[in-house]
Amino acid sequence: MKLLRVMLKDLRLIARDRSALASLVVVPIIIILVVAETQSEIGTQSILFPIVNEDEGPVANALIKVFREHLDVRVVDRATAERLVAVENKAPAMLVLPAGLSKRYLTNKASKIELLTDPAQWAELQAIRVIFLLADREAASLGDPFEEELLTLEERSLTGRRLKFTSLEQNIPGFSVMFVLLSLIFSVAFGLRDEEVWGTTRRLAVAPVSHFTILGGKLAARLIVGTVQLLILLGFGHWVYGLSLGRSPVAMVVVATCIVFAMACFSMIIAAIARTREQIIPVGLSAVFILAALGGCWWPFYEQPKWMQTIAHGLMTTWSMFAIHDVMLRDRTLLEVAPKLAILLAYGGLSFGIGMRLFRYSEL
Amino acid sequence: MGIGSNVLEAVSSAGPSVRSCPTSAVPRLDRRVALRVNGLRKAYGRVVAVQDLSFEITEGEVFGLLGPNGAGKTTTISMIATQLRPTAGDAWVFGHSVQKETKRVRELIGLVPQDISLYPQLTARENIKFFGRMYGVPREKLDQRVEELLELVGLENRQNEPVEEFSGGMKRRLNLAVSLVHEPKLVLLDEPTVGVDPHSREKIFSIVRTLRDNGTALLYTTHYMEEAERLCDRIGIMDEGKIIAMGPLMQLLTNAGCSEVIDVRGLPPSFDWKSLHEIPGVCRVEHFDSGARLFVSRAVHALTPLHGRLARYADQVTIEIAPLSLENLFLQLTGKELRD
Repeated sequence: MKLLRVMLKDLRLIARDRSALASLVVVPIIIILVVAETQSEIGTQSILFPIVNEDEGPVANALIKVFREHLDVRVVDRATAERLVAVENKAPAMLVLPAGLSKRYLTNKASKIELLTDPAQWAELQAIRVIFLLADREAASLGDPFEEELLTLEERSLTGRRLKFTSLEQNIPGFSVMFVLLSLIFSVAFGLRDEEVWGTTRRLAVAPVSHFTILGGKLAARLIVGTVQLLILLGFGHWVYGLSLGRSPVAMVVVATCIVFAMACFSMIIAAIARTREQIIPVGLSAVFILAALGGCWWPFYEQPKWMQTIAHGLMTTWSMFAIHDVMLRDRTLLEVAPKLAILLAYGGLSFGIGMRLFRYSEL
Repeated sequence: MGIGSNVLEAVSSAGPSVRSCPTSAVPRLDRRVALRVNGLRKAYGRVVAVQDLSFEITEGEVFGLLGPNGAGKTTTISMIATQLRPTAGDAWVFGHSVQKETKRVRELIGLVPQDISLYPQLTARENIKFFGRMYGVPREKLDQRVEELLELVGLENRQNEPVEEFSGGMKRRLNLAVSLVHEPKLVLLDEPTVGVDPHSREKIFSIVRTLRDNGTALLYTTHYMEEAERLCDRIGIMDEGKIIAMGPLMQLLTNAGCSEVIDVRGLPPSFDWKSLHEIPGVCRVEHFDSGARLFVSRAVHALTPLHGRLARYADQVTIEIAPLSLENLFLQLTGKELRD
């Protein structure tokens, strides 16, 4: 009987925190929707594939026709194609059909076509490679342009030294970013709640220090811990699995610092939204899972449907993964990755401002 | 010494001024107004927590705010401490408005919160030092100040232990020490002895007196009668957000018009309670289950007529006469027990 009373009391307590209760169901549903939406559009039609048609002859046209059936082909000039692959990273590869290709082919002379790649988009690139094999078969009926003796494919990276990456090079940075975000959200939120429980919030509220100083100091501590955590995790990937850390250790440290800055500041918003300890876990977990999934921590960013990619461009995890991939996989310098870091810093600054507004220590 | 003996002493000699009040080191004429509160009000929607509060505290004075839980004491302190924005009115700490000169006011005040406000994993020394830095105490002075405070609150031997290992009384003493690290000119003590052992309470009382003697102004909220009686130079009695009486303790008791209380117990329900109001010199009658409390100007004058009314119940009735205490005064003023 007493057991029943204890159970009823606990049910009553659980029912009182309706936000926490609702999030028990809402959070998993949101995650399931995101995962399902990502997995449902596994196709290649959304992969952008710029082709530079310098030949403009029948063989080039036949090839383009074959690729159009599988990929989002855009026939553009070389500069545009290079920008899409190497600068904007919107396309995993570009194909160059050289001038005189048709003429040489029709006179039975061998030609070389170039596939210039961004290996950091390894999943999409792999899909393109498969389509090349497919096209080889399909093109036989159109005049056999892929006949080995006449056409050879030369693959070259536009963005780094290596031609291929493994899924580990996606997963290790992705999960590292996710776990650092997880730690930050919970440590910042619980840290601020702990101060309320200890009563030190009230003492700080009436001390002659600004709101900015108190919250800034707390976040600075988390920034140091989070940055060290992220660097250790990436270092672990490097030493154990041979993960590339790029050419500049300084660039990696700066990138890690900017990523953690944005995430630490964002954590303040979660801390302000989740007003009870019971709310912190569901709200925090939902934020982490959604940001990680949409931001490309769980799977390659470009595998997601276009609409999700559009939304994801507003998330810090997306820019974090972009910046990490730029340094690790594309060997980019600090200067080259600076625009993405600026976005992360701006994101952090904005989050800090919102957090400051939401999390007030005193009314004055 | 409780209020009872004070009042008896006053009655038997020259009057209210007899109550001994330790004096501050600052000569009375030279004392500045440390805190001036004028028309202070705090409302949350329709609920008014504090309404139109006005009082002053000078240097070297302990002003007690006495009232039951929910009377508005903590809200008042929170407004003076710059944590809550008043809905109306203002308060000035040494002439600085709490609303307009927040930073300056914060430098001048020391708040001892009602709840323990310390970092449990840090040591006593680390807690004092951290808040010293927050208050901008110079590094070269801070170490000396920490030593002084640890000695003041009797924690010098436990200074390097984490606070979470302290007893409740030790935490309370440290809670006070942390609030004094920057040598505030006005100290706001919000029920600083709640739940402490007698030893720690005496220690806190002693610190309060030392501060007062050194010229510090203190605002002391409590719902313990004894504390108000022992520590406070002046008392403001608060109820439902208002100060309903204010002044030195003896003046409050004198102004009440009743100097003694007669407790009558053991009366049957059928007793004619109204007849007690007709007794000459009775200011107020509080009726409870099997008895009544009569507030009278002089008990000796009321005893004969009272005896006449109780004659039928002489075998079962007990009578107790006591000087008017602060507790009884509160009951007389509000009709409520202080600890309601």
